[in-house]
Amino acid sequence: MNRGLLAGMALLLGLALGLRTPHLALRPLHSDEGVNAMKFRALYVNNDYKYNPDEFHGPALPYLTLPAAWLDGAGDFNRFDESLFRSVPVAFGAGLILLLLLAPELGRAQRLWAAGFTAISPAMVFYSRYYIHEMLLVFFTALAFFSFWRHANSGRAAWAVLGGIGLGLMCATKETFVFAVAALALGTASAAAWGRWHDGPAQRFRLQWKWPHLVLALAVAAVTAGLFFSSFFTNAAGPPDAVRAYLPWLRRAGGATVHEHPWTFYFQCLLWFHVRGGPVWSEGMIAALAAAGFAAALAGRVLLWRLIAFYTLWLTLIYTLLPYKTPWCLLGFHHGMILLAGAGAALLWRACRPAWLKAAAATVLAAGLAHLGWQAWLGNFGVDRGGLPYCDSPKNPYVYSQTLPDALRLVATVEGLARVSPQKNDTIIEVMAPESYWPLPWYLRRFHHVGYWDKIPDQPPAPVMIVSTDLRAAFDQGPGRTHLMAGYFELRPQVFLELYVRTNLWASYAKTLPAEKD
Amino acid sequence: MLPALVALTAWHRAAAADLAPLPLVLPPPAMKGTPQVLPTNTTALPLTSAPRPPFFAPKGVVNVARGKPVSASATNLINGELQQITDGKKEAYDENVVTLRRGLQWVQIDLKADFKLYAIVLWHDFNTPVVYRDVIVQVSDDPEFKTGVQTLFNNDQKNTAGLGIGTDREYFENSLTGAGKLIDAKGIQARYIRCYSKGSTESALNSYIEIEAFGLPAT
Repeated sequence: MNRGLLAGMALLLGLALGLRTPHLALRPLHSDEGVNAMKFRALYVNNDYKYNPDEFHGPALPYLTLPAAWLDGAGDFNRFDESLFRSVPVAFGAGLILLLLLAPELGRAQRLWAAGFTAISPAMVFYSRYYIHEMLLVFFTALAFFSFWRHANSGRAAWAVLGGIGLGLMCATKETFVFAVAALALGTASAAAWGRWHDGPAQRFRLQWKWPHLVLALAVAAVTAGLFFSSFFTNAAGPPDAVRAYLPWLRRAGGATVHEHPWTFYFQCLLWFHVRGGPVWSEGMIAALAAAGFAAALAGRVLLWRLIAFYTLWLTLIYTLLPYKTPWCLLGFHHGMILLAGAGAALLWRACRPAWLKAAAATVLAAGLAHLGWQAWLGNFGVDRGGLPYCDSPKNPYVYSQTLPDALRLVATVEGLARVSPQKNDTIIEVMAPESYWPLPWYLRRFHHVGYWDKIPDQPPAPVMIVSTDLRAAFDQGPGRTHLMAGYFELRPQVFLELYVRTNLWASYAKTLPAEKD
Repeated sequence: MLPALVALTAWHRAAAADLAPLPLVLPPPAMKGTPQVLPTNTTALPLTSAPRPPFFAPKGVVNVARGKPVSASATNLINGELQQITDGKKEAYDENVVTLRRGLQWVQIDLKADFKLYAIVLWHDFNTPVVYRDVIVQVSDDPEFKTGVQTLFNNDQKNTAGLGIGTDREYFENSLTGAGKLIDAKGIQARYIRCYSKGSTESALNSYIEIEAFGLPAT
């Protein structure tokens, strides 16, 4: 393998990790991240993970978090922090760069450009630091895609097996893998049709598909997925549940949720996003170069590029047409766009022959790369004018229903109350919220007696109660005025919680507070 | 519908108990509309333009604080004169605002005799919907407030004033209604009223427009 390519890839991998690994705990856990962390707890602490066909996606994420937990050395779930969980998508997000080594047909310059865009794309960086399933799905999709491609080129069974593992892990990661498979099937058919029309019937690509190997690949995929869904032979209901799961998810995809957004949603995130007081966010350069790469792929003679082009087109179309949209779902087709942008950038560089034109292209590309890198940095580590980190701010296109730092202030207050309570971490805490109270279970994981309700329960009030303002609890107005309302805390934008504390407990806590200045 | 029924029921009960709505005259609202940014670092209930439910007190209660002498923790005022706090002028005009210095400050009204107090209403500067911090209202028969002190309201949850942990919520100075903060005094007998505060969400200074105390002679 070319040393220059390897050196370049290593450098870009370092850049990717440099943007992905610092301050992983900076952003409070999103509610979905909190759910995933607590699902991992069931696996890690109680060895009791069971796939739920209605919620929470596939088992690959918790199982693939195990190595990170083993490596951490703390050995105690309660001592794990956000960094540990987020290191998992970091590994897979940066690993996408290494997968490019599986596809030499893409070309050296093209792969280096694509690796560079993968390293610094703001969306790729942001969601590589997000403990959800999406980055793993993108990785396994690319793994399966390139492995099957290698098999088609070489006819070797090992590649088919690796492709099968990738496919099985896609299935075990997230139910939406079916969209990637559908896009791949449609993309293959489209590439074939395009080839017949564009190249003429005489032009044939010589592929070495071996049907027994493909059957083997499907068997490996089924076994791989089965292992995960059955919780490694401990949950017989898991594999059939994995099939049953598609009914609720189809309902969700049809738009019967709060995540229904217009067809332009992903393009607004990627191409032009601006909220008053924030910068303009755009990965327009990647999109523009991807368009050039798409045209080059269709005009060129490299089948793999055509497959990527049509796969990306179909996947973009599928996600655009689905009413159910969350911003991280764009990662699948955005990765395809990034690969195509690699082709586009290489094409642009080659096409600019005269020195002055090359200099102009270099300037434009350098400015574009700098802009992408700056956005990637700003979106994860920058702070807006109001003092809110952009990784929490709705001025960032990739921030979606994000837990606010105020939630950490609430948790710090509750921890302070427990310190002065005779019961310490056995202090009873009641959380009441008709909407999601996540990720509070993660942040309150060290407490032994925490109850969660979607309404006010019919039982005596606890010393500490965290209550949604929607419930209008007014526990501080109750008989005997046993509790006071210690403050509002904004869990997510416009989702407020009240903290009620038993008066004598609060009095003990107030003594520990630093004196206020006049 | 339900609030109306509740109010009607309260009205009937009050009539039976020889009570009547407090003869409280509100100043006009200071402004119209809700400002875009309200302070959030508070325990106050959301600002509302809804009128306060009627407060019932024994028939015959009057504002016994009107024109009574006012003293304060500091005499070097930033703005106005202490006597304005009981002069009956409670519109949110700048000339009606009395401003004390920063930090914890108090103003005190000498009612000149013992009264059975049923309600105390105070208006800080309500030109904008700010929240005053560490509001404490006490009454006593001792001008030094060393003996016989009873606390009627206290939202100093961190006990920064050193007068005990307050369990009441903070509240917005209601610029939308001019309603002031009404505190139920439950017929307590006292001669002196002392009101503390420690700045607001807008300023470290302590501003008052008016304090009224509704009661009946103790004898």
